[in-house]
Amino acid sequence: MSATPVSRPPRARLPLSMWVVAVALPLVVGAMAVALQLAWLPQLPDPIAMHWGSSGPDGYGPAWSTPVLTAGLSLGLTALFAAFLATARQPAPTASHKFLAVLSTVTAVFIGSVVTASIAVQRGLSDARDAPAIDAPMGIALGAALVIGVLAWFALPKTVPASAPVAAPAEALPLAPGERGVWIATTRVATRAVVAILTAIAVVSAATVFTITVTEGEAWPLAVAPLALVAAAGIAVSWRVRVGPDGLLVRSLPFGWPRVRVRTAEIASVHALHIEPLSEFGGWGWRWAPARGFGVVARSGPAIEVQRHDGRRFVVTVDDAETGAALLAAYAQVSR
Amino acid sequence: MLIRIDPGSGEAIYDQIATSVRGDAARGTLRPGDRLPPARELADALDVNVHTVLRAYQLLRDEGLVDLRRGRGAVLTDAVARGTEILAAVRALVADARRAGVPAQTLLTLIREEYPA
Repeated sequence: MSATPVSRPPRARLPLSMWVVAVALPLVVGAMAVALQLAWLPQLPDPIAMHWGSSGPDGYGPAWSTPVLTAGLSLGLTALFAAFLATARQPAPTASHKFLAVLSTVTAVFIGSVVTASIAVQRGLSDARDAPAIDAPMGIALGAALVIGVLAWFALPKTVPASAPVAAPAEALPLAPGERGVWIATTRVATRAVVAILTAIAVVSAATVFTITVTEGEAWPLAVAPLALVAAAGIAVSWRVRVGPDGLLVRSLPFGWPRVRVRTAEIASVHALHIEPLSEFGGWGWRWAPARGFGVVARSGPAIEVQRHDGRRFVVTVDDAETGAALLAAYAQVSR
Repeated sequence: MLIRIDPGSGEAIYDQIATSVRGDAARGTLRPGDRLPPARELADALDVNVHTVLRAYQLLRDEGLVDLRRGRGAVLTDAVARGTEILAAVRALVADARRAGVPAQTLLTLIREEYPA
């Protein structure tokens, strides 16, 4: 009566062009930005303007902090995207893999050019308070980043579908007429992932404290970022997954909210498959990915995937997903 | 974990819930330290009264299969691991009985007689 266990697909060998877009290009852009900023250092006022409000610059910091921040962000973010893609499994490259690679380049170009432009407009000034507005350079940087992103997307090889042909539809668990089955499991984010998430929160907190300190407290609204991350992490660590006659119900613990319900009548097909959080969803928790749809992604391993009649998909990673998927398939079949 | 009940079978629902858990324990699907779903949640999902589920859990506690603790729920004990050893012995016994042409009812009677009622 036990369903066939989900096997872990072999690691994917991504084409070289993916690594160029995800790692090489962002590092080159970061290095160019840092080089320009260092070259302009002697022409800059000290302190320089680091943060702009609606009526001109309102946050200041030492001139050296900008190249340090740029280098740190460039190395850190590129390493993060590289780690995501290093965990990719077959089939590859999916739309999610390509999206991550392109996002790495877009982020690098945007951050590199905005920060460099904010320095460029301050060359030759004796007082940073005279720094002009940077709305125009910011708009240009965003536009350039998006154009480069679109070009990179089309330069990369064609994507392959995310799940097929690895997963066959789950085999329905045999239920006697009148028999009721319920499958309940708890899924929680792996300790290693919790460490990674805490590290990310620590990095963001450190960058925030750094920025608030060098601007002597004027950038204090930035403190919202780490607080929002902590709140988001609180509802994305543990879930209860339930399959019953009424369908699939996934609730975040300990509050029971947010939740996702997929009713039996909505279900077109059920799969048990292997999910790799970083390469397929770009991380853990409540997730959306272009190739996969919505997901509750707790860890690498077996998962239940349901496809609704309207084509929308939902995935939840959980131990013994094979049994849960088999029971859900049985109820989906009965309702048809 | 999977719990199956059949309201039409005539057997009490709480017995069926307990049997479902025992079966998973014997097959090794459940391990010591695993937790049974909260009674309220299971009752809601099975569409039965919460007291029915609690009665099943108390039955399992009386057998020493689970520990019931306030705030921690129903936690499976080390007795679960012993079940897996018995399962292997039962499989061998059933195979022997088949070979000897002993029907299931006779075998069950023999087993029941071995226990001092």
